[in-house]
Amino acid sequence: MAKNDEPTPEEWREILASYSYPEEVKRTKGRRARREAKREHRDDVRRRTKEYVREERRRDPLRPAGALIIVVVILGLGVGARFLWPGLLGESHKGDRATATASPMPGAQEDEEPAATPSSSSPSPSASAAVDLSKPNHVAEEAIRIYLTRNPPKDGDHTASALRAEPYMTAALIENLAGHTDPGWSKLVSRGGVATVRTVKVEPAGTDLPVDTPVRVWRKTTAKVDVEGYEDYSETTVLQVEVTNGDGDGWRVSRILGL
Amino acid sequence: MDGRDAVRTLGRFAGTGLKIKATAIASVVFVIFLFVVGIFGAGTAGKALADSCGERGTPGVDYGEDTAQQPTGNIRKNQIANAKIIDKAADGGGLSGRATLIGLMTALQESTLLNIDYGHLDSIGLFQQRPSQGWGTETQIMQPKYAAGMFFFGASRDTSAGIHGLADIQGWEAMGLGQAAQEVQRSAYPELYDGQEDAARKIAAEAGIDLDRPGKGGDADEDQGSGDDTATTSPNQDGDPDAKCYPEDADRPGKPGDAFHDGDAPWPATVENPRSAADAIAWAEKEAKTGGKDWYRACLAFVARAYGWSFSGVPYAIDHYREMPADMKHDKDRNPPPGALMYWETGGRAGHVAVYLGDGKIASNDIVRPGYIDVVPATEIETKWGSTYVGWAPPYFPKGG
Repeated sequence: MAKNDEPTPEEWREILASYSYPEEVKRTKGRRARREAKREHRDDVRRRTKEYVREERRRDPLRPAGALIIVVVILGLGVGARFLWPGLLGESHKGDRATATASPMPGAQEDEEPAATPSSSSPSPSASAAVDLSKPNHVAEEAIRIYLTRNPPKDGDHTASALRAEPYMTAALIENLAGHTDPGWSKLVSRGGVATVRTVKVEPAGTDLPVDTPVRVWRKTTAKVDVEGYEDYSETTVLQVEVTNGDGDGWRVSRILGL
Repeated sequence: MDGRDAVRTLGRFAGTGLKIKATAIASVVFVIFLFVVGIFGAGTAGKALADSCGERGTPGVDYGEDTAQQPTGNIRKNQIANAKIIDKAADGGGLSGRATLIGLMTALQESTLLNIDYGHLDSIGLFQQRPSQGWGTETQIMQPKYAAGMFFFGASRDTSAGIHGLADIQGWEAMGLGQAAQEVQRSAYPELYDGQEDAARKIAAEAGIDLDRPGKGGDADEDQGSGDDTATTSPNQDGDPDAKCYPEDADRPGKPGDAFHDGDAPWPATVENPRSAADAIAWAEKEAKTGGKDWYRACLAFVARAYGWSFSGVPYAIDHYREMPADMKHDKDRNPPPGALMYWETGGRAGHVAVYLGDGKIASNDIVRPGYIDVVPATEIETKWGSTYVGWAPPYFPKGG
């Protein structure tokens, strides 16, 4: 913008004061004719100014409406990127569903044998590992196994294991767990502990909690946790978990009782 | 054009080039900024936060928005149809939209708002009512209209005997939503009803149910004028959901004891360390500021190092206190002198020890960042870890080396 090249108000006043009509207008005979000639001259100047402005606008590559459209398009691209690439902000939640094939109906009292496989493997499962959300028992087992596997010096705080369990938990639960402080974590740290989950047993939650439906089940999980700390010890953590599958796209733990 | 004009023209040209470059850079930065705003702006409103409110581990049931977890297809159709029947039963009996909301939350919790013909023991239907307990025959309970009527009005609107419905509960309008549901259902987990509020409101919106509908008066709905949400204590409806959602103090396992104050107790002559108390405090403070992640599970090693020792010679912090000469132990005394060692029982074998810096503060490992030293109020060990303060002792390391 060449704003400095534009005349100042004072300069404009000088220009207006020095404004004079062309000689031929001044020389026009007769007062009426001279006034008419002056009027025509002013009209002509105005017309030419208008054309000049129109031409300048035509040359200008960006008008306000155009700029607005470009801003909206770029914002839209950002929004689109968020949805096309859900993991962009660390939200692998929906992306993980590609691997999920959920059974639509777990059965009124699903008696699925819990896998209860030993978990001497890495406490931080690879995020790229296939996430199987098809069976509520498996989802409950994995969610609890990952959530209770904790290495404080590595994790930094209690939210790390909640975030690792994210593929198996609803977003609201992750946020809830991260938002609250965690006495279990504090207890582990105060004892200098590093916790690994040896087994997780999953079984029906019992009659105090609601019955299974096609979109929601409650399960009782019993985790055997080995803690290596100032002294090594093992503890058993029993949690009741609600697993939901509203849209048939995969089961996820939505609530946990007993934390 | 004279020389000055030429120079001016040249300068103007060069200035224009610079301006173009600056404008181009600014444009690129602006485009990137807009792109990032688009990414972060999409769907990051407080909705998920509101859903996540609740006690630890029990957020609002997350059926998601449109795609995630929200039931679809026939299941959703059935839920909406059942929601309409529940609302009709409430409305027909003169109850307000608040009653409908409680009914929906209850049915969502009991049966996910599906009319299931099974349940625990002989429970069946939307509200998991039991024929053996007087709620009706199986055939009756499997009719949503009947089941909803029983939930709202019980076996008889005119008697206080038998099965009681919502309208029979005195002051139900002024109760919390989940509490009102619990008064009818008598669940072993009453706290779970409140988690269904958001899901119930979404279904009501889809079903075209007016939850703000006032009651039609009479005995059944005596407090209707108080407004729909006056008794709702759900934290996600408050202005500052974060503050209400996660009250940190309420989560803390321990309560702080009285504040610690500086005492004045010169060390006994037997207390000799490579470093003085003042130097040990300075060393600990420096470690808190610039030290590394070297101290996880090493509280006793840290206090020994602070006083210039390589090791303490004792395996556990609590043993270090127990082995102190009796005249050095100051059980439960909350006036330690700066430089004193403070001890806590943590529930584990080792206990905990930290250096008292004065002014109520300690330098402790792991209390803020696992593995690091941080300076915190001495009461943090009680509030954050739920540990029990045992006492203080001078920095006596008879086995140190």
